[in-house]
Amino acid sequence: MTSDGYLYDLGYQPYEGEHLGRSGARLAIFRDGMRKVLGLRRRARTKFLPWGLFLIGVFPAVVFIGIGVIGGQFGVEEDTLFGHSEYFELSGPIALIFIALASAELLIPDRVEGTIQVYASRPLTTADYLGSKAAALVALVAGFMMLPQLMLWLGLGGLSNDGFLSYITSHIDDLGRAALATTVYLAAYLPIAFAVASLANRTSAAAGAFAAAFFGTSPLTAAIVDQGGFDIVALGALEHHPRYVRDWIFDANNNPQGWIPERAGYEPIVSLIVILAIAAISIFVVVRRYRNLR
Amino acid sequence: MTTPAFVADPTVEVDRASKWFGQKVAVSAVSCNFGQGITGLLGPNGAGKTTLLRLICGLASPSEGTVTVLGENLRRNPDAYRQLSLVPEEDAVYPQMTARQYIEYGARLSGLTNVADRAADALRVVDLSGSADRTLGGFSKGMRQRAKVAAALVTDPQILILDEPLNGTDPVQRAHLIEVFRRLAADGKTVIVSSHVLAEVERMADRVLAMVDGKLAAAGDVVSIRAAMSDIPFRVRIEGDHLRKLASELVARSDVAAVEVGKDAIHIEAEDLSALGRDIAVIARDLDMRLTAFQPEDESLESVFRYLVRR
Repeated sequence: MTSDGYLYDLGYQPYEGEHLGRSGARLAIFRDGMRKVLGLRRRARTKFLPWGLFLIGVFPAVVFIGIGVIGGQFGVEEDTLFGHSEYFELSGPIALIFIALASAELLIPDRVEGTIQVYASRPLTTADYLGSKAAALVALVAGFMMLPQLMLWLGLGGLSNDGFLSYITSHIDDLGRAALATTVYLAAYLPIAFAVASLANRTSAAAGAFAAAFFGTSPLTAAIVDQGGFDIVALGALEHHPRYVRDWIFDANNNPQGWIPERAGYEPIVSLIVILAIAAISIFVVVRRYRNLR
Repeated sequence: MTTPAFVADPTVEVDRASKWFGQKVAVSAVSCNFGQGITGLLGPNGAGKTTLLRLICGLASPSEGTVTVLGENLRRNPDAYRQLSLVPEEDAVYPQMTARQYIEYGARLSGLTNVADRAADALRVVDLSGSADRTLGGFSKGMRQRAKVAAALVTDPQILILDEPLNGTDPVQRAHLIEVFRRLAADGKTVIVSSHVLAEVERMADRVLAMVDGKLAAAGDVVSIRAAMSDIPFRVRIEGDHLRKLASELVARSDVAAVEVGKDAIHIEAEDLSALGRDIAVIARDLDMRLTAFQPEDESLESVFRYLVRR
């Protein structure tokens, strides 16, 4: 037992600085989440998928803006380019894959590898932890989906016969619609992705299950609905709901056959309600799963 | 309270805390407290010590009873975590982060501002400054342990909870970490150490709490705990000349349970060690023999611990 002994001066100093409180913790998790998702400070192979998806999603918009800048001088018409709602047909599935991979990477390793204890004994709540991780993913996905929309808006402005400035001022509401559609996509994808990631113990299994749930329900529900008689099954077409609502927002029709809920006779508001209801259930699942973080 | 399970001016108070998981009772009505200095929390696997630490850290809520840290229920007041740091038993590190990044991240999570200076300080304390910019994935187990300790120290906590902190460390690192903990205790911190390595707990802890089957089995310093086990005879090794004569004298005593004669010594099992200690000198004088050693054999932490588990 230690009744005596020599104590070395180890240079340990008491902390006398400022405490930021939970906001500091939230910001730290947010920044770390962004780094993790983008593979920053990590091996090269972890950067390949997120940055590859980002390039695939943004590259066409870069081409369009190039056409806008150059083509405008050669009489290329604005309707030769993708419209804002059409572009979501490209960026939506990419966002889905990105969210599938990123949400698994954000949640599962902490739980499975025990690093959740890094957070468990810090001045933050479960909501801080989950909310900051979700915020990091929302910021990245929203940026990923909105950046091409912004480029498209500028590109279309470059091709407009009314002139660039006139176009971008008169079509500013297109950006508002794009932001609204992006929100709908996020509400449709992210809570479910988090719920799956909160239940799975392997990142590949979670990402696969999430992607399968979205891409697999469309042909299945379409086959049943198109035979008639079981219209309610159309509400299970997870991937078609955000697209149907998006077309509603843009007053567009990107599917001549009609989206599966539309074919079953449901209005877009029903799809929006389904998205919100599933999001609420998913958030409940995640919170319940993490209730013992503290 | 006046038992050794309680200290004056406690920082952590456990009041009749129980925790059960379904039918399994992990912690059963444990009452104790912790204050300045190092308290060793001992127990075999499944004794409930990790669950008790989790209750103290607010990582689990008691099924019954209360646990407070500086008067606060951590689960209801996360801001109170500023005063507490945990070094978990698990390898809770991000392998792709450098030691510096990991410790700075811990500082940011605790809301500190000048994180670079604090991290440099903490790295120096655990003697990791030279490896600060290497990734944790390339660290040995002992180095990762030290990084975890640094991440806990960076916030300057009043209470430090260490779950098996010396796992994987080599003897030099172990001695260094023990000095760090002792220094913190001397600075007024509450240090709670759970460990299987009894010799090290013995070296560093001012007080020991032993748990068996989810219950608090003993508290105090090791010698006092052993002394309190009056139902288990004390084992003493006696060396000197004329040992056979001494053995036949002692075997007649009612308070001597057993006498074993060895080549160089006799081993006695006595119910009252202090009475035997007083009498042995007189007996030796009467027998005209010379005693060269009177050595209690089971006052080590290991012996005490073995008895507690067997009880």
